[in-house]
Amino acid sequence: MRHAFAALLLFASTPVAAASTAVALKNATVWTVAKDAPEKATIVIQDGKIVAVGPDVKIPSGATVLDLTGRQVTPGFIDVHSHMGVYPWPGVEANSDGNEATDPITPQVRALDSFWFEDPALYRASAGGITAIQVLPGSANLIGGQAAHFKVKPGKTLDDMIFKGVPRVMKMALGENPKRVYGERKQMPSTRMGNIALLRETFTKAREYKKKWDDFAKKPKADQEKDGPPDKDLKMEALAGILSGEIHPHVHCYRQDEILRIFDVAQEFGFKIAALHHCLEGYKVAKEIASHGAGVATWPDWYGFKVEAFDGNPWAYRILLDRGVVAAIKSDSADTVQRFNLEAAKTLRYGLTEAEAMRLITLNPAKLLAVDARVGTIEAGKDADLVVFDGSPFSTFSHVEMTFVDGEVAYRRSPGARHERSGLEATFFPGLM
Amino acid sequence: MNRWFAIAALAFLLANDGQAAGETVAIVGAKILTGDGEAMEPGTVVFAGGKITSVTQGGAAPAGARVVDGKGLTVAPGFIESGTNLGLVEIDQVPATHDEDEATSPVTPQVRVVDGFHPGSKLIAVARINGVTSALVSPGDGNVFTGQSALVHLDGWTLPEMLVKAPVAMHMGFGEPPKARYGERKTQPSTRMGIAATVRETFEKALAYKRKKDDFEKKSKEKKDKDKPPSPPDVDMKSEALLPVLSGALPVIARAQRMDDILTAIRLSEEFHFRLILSRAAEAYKVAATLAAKKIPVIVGPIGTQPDAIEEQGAIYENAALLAKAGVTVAIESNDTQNVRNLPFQAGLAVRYGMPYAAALSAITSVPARLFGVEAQMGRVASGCSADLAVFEGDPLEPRSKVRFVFIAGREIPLRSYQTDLYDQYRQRP
Repeated sequence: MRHAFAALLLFASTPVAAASTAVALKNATVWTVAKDAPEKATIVIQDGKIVAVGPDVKIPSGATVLDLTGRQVTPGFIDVHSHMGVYPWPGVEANSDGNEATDPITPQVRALDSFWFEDPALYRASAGGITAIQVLPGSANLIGGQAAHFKVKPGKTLDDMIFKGVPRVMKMALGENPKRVYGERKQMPSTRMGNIALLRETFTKAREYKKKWDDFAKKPKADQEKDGPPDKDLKMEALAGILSGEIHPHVHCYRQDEILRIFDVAQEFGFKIAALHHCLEGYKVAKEIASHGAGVATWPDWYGFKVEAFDGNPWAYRILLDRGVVAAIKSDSADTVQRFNLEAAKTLRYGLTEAEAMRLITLNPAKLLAVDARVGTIEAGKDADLVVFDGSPFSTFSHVEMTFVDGEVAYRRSPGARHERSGLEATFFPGLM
Repeated sequence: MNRWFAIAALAFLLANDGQAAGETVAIVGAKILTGDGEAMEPGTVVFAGGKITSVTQGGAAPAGARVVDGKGLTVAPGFIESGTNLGLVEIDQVPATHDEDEATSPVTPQVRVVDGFHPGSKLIAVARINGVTSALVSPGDGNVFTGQSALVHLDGWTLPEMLVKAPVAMHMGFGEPPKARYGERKTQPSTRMGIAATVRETFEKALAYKRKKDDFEKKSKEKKDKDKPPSPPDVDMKSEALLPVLSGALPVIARAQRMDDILTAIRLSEEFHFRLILSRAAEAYKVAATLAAKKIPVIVGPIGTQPDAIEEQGAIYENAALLAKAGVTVAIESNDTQNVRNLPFQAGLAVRYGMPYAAALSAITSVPARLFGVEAQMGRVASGCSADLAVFEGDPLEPRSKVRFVFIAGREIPLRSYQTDLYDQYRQRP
């Protein structure tokens, strides 16, 4: 709080430079995440990248310098389970675009095509330090569709926000949701065995489809021209991508038995599960998850809202990390992204160190998206996605003062700031934001 | 599983056994936050027979007392949750575990949460081992008159052992939940004006019932015609439940989010002369001066409201802070069931957005005690209050601070829940 006023003066009088000019953030306490402990350091950013970080970094001449004395800087937070833009505010039927709940198998749909980039929730997420999100279709379907990846840049257009170069991800779902949605319609799947049967049937077809195309590719060119290619099927095309390893499955799941079942399915069809989401009983089968090599994206303390979520446990991260699982915090909520750092802070009560807790919202989610070479730490060469706090990032009392995405200021705290605007105001008067 | 239950049960028995013998406990050398704005460091709190007997700066433990070394620890009053379905709902998506919402009529003032409360809820231990020692268990949101709440200690084998006070308030609901529910059924109320009309009709009926009862009593006393004794009116349980509201004996806690819903609740409270406490109240900050002038308290929460519902579009983080600044009495609720344990973090967020620390701590301790009419009994670390204490390593409002001890009515609570049992079970899996 005591730093906030000074910061406002500083930032109000210091236009942050154009992307091509170097910006130096000096005198901050920096959580590089590459190292466990924070250190007093200077960060130099240019052209959207971090070009240098360390205690003795030389500030290039001509750089815009921000004195961040008393501030703490962390890597931008990465949320691998968001429905922002596909279930935007306000939460009314007209805005509901997250579940193509007309068929349990819809791998052909893409979250990108539902994503409303003016969702006012994005402003508050940015004000909470979120810099990158994976937007997923919902969990009504066994195979719900393809994820979209964004850098959180409220006010920019869709093309500006797309996080390019992230490997493709397919959202899958097990357990209660698909069996409830389709069971109510007296349609398969209505049971957990129905869930798995339908998945096996689907991947069997996909394997046949892929074989047709693989066979076609092996034919001599003349035969290819003579016979013509097999018919294209967008569902099968996307599933073939899973079989080939090009598309990474991220699986919504809860109970330990269904976690083991989906590993069996993956093994049967020769692919790997990249990440298990929610995964509230993951701690019960942590060694199997480690041995499959899947990551886990879960909540620190949500549990109990349905039967399969009843054994959720705030101590789960301790067990998962001890078994060597790459675990991350994710939100599945436009609410908790407003204070994602406090989700990490909660784990300190349950046996994690600060370094472990910080990784849960930075490096580890980056690993789950296979973009840890680009984001997730503060190191030279990485995207300049940064969060500036006026105190400890693990304190309830700290404010996010600035959020940088690709070296530009995505959020800056000021009185009457845009994150304080309501969803409806944003919807009808976006010019005011 | 059974093994762990047995260990937990044994620990519980042992812990409770000690206190049954009338043990005196002294926490010495801690920082004490009294819950009404004071701080003492180093402070000593002594309790016996379930009640705090002394709170002193730098005092020594009485002879024979069990001494708890409070060095480096912070003692706060056990937190009081001001709005939860704890004990009425176990698993959201399982109807069999729902007893919070008598969704059969918009007017159910006669229902009482004491008749649906489940002392065996596994969620209770999850809440209390994080320092929440009592809770206003309230009926759900879907009716206009939703029923009568109860204040319970989060420890005890049975409801009578847990119960602090019931009824605490009559609960009412304005805005989206009743109109959505009954609108779908094509019955009144399907609009906000329908809600207000339902309130008026219900209170008018209760007033007419009261007149008949008063008339009967008057005639009974007069005893004019011994051959034709006066007959009492048929008992109307709904009106009976509203009589203490109309007399001012029982306050109303009204859930109202939008400013106009808040003003409607105020208008009706003045028309029918009932004591009003607002809850949720996303847009209360817009009428803060009015609320202060009329001395209407507000139970705000959660602080980080997600403005998802249409009626919450005006939600801002600073609501509690702005109300407090305007002089409104503010309590804070988690409005959660599974995660009542996060109540102190809500108070912490209120501080982040401008509420003074002492006011935020009071908003989850002494203020709710006052609103619920038990200020002499609990909500403060003060002599004569129930020994409901939460002892932390660090700031009680910070998520990272570990809980070291919890006492409810002087009983030391084993820091165990079904979640710690699962942890112990699975971390030992070979």
